[in-house]
Amino acid sequence: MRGYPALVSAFFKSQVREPVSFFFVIIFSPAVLTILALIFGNDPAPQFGMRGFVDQMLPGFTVISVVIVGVMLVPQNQLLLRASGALTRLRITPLKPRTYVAADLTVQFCFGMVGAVTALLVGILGFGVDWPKQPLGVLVAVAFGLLTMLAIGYTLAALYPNPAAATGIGNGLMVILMMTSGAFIPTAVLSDGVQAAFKFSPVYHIAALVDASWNGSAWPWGSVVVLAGVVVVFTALGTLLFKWDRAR
Amino acid sequence: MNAVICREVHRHFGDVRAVDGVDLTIAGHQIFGLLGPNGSGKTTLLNQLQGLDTPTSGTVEVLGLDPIRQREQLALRMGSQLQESTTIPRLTVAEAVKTFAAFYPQTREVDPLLAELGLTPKAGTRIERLSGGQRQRVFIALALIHDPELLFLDELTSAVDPQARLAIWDVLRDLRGQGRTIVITTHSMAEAEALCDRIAIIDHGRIIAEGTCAELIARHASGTTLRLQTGAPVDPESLKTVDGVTAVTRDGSDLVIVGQGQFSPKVMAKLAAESIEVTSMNIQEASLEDVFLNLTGRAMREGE
Ligand SMILES: Nc1ncnc2c1ncn2[C@@H]1O[C@H](COP(=O)(O)OP(=O)(O)OP(=O)(O)O)[C@@H](O)[C@H]1O
Ligand SMILES: [Mg+2]
Repeated sequence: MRGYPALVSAFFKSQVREPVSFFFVIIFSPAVLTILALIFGNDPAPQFGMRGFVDQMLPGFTVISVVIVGVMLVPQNQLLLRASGALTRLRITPLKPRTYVAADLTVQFCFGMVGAVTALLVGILGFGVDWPKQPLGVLVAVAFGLLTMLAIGYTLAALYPNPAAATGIGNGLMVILMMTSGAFIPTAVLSDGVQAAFKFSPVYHIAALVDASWNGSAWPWGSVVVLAGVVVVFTALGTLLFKWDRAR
Repeated sequence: MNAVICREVHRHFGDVRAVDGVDLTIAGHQIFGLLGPNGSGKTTLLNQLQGLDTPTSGTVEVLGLDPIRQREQLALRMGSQLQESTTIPRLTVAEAVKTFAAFYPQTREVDPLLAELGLTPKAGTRIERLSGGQRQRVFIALALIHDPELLFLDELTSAVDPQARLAIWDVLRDLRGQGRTIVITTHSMAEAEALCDRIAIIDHGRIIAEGTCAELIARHASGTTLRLQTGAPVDPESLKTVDGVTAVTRDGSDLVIVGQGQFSPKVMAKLAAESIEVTSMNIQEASLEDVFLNLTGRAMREGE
């Protein structure tokens, strides 16, 4: 793993200095949360089971940064590095591909966690949402979710033909996946059919784990199995499909 | 030991034969130039040598290694500056050089290297905000950071000003003095003549001539070119009879006379005898330009 610390530091600097991705990961979900909270307030309401709006939304919001990192940042970042020739330049050094991947994942993981934790703190400290029953469990669930999204992101990065496709398809995918997180639409109010469809979204299951820890219950095993399966399958795919070069 | 050996190397992209049967041996401890016009296959050939691309057919050996299968071993001993150079975005010069230094077990010190390339004042500037020539020097620094025994430099001075170019040439001559091997591509005749110990001329993916500059000129372009402008029109045929003249052509308003030995005074004497005034004249010894012209029938102009 020679070069790993240096590469982590370089990717970190590069990412922090990129205002758009920095905004999306760190600022976006807390900002949206703040705006919605200011509009709707957090008074207990019957349609939310006598909980407040923010109480209801917050667990889902922690998942938003996770989705953004996996579907947008990871593939976009990698496609831009590939298209610009930066990956080619790395390839003529003794750097091992796995060191590159590890450093990239480390940085993206940290960003995703920071985004999720920021959203959490804004909700709890800013709008008086009760602390989760199992804060550590929530963090572990977010981290697990982040791993699945990173694995998906690496596969997408290998499949997207160019950075423009990554942005276009990524945006669509991001919106769909976010819908299934329960952040914007409480899943409880949806019809059975839509709920069944949501179960195909990994994000639905990430949100399920977060919700469970939030309410102090055990993780639903079905969701754990689905997510573990996603990690295994997409890590294998991402590794298999990873390429340094732009297509020739 | 030979630094590079290519045997019958082909690289085709569909119908395009970017590299079309290259047999080439590059001995160590010298500056070797690949000289050719745009699209002649220089970069494609270098890609095969650096393990960035696999030949359609043929074999490549670099420092005795297979560039694809022994990529990592080769990367430790080889330094490269790619024609289209970029690196991790938004890093400063010093950050980028230090990051790359961390990939190697042994490296040079960063500060003296930056100083040598005139980059010290820019060490804290992001690479994207540098001028083209400054950026090119950053990528030369990245190529040199691990003190490699073999360097591939693709168009190393195409964007730099004459002063920086001379400084870079000096750096390369020093490296050669330390016994390193340097392979450059260029379409600058001047650069090839000034810097390279040996030159291979490449055209349409083929090496059409190889040798020292003097050898190439002696073999493919011996002779002197006399360019004249005259007050009155001259019939080119009338000058072909002058002793030593081998060819007379018109190039716009210029009369171009090519020949061997001391033919110039004789041409001038003949024109004087016919009372034709010579308004301008220019004598040029044969150069690499003529080598290319003679071998391909086309001119290869710099920057074209
Ligand atoms: N990836 C590719 N796909 C298709 N054709 C290619 C590819 N790479 C190079 N070529 C073609 O191969 C030929 C040689 O290209 P190459 O880049 O090697 O030229 P070059 O000598 O380096 O030119 P220059 O002086 O402009 O850098 C060109 O005709 C180019 O269009
Ligand atoms: Mg080129």
